[in-house]
Amino acid sequence: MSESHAGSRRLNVSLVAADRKVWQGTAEMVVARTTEGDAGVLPGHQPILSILVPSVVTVRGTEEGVLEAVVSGGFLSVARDDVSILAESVLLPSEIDVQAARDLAAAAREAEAAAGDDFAAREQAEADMRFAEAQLRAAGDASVGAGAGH
Amino acid sequence: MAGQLRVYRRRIASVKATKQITRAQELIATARIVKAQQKVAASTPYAEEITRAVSAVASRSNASHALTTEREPQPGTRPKAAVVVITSDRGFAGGYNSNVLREAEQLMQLLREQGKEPVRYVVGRKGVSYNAFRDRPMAGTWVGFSDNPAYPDARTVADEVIGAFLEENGLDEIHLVSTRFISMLSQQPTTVRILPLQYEETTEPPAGGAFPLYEFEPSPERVLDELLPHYVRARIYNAMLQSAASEHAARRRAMKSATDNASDLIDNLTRLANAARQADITQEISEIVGGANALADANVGSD
Repeated sequence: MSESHAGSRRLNVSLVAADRKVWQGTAEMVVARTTEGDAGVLPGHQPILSILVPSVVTVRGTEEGVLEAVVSGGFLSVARDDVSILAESVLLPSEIDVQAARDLAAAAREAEAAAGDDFAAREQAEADMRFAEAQLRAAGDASVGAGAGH
Repeated sequence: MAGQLRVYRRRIASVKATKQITRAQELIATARIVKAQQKVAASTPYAEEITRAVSAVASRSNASHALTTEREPQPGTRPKAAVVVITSDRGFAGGYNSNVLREAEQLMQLLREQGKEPVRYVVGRKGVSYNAFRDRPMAGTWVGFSDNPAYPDARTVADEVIGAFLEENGLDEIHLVSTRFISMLSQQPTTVRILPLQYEETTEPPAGGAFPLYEFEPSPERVLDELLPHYVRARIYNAMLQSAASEHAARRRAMKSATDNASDLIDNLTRLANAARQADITQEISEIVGGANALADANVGSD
């Protein structure tokens, strides 16, 4: 299905973190998880601006094959075959520090328990937890299930 | 007279020591400017994309949002305006800190004239001690990262200010006073109002072309809700990085002129020391000659 589009047109994808441009290149398809569910973007997609949840973004059909990156939330913006993934932190699998991600998960679990009725703190803790889980999943860590059961 | 020479030599030694320090500071600052500039450049894509996204939502939708609308002033209270000032932690940077602090004072004066109550948020040890010395209240202070700010630092500052903005009877405006890095030789203190957003009626297309007809998911309001804190953080982060680059540039310039002055001083003192040494020698010779003459005269008299 994607071939009919991808034959002539490709997406210009950029992954941008707050303090650096993580990756830029062309691709056939981008899959990202928005607050409304997973969204796949092919060339010719309508312009959208949506909110991402902490998750793994998959970029298919780049020159180097499939690219995965972990985002801490942020935004997906699509306009005229330009796809921007904006997030405060964007990590490529090679940059993931498994120990740091585990620590973050543990800290987030504690923060969630301590948050009580504080809605904002609970939300922040959950976002941290998802970010840590996404990192561990992308790094292929076995103990992914540890934080499940939210 | 020999005492004079010793005094000069001591002063030369002390000026030389000072010169070594200022020269080292100058070299360190020069090395750091490049890094700071690279950080500014690296943070620009994110800041631009976020600003573009905010502009797109704000201009496309009729979203009336707490962070974009100017609140009606409540009767009997003065609207509060946050003034976030970014200064450096260390001195030795010429007029860098006094320029940005003066800019902040002018802004606060203007706000007071408009009937608003300025609330200070200060970043950098120099700004904190400036205000603490004058017993001025500060709603928030942050120190320790002015020469190499990281995104989490900006996030801490931004979240505190946004929190105060969203409170009941909280802040009504957020202004940011920082130093813009124009070039190695030119840095300028600048003031911007971050919130509420300033709308500009313009017929020119925005940078990067007109906005496409975005679909906002889940809704324009939610997207704006999410975007604005990121926008404020990105603006503050960018201002901190520019200020850091400016700080290094200002320090380099100040230390360069201090080094040049020390060189001049050493030249002058060396000349004075040479003259003093020469005077010592001349005096010694004339004393010897005088003594010999006196002896010769005495001998003539006794013969």
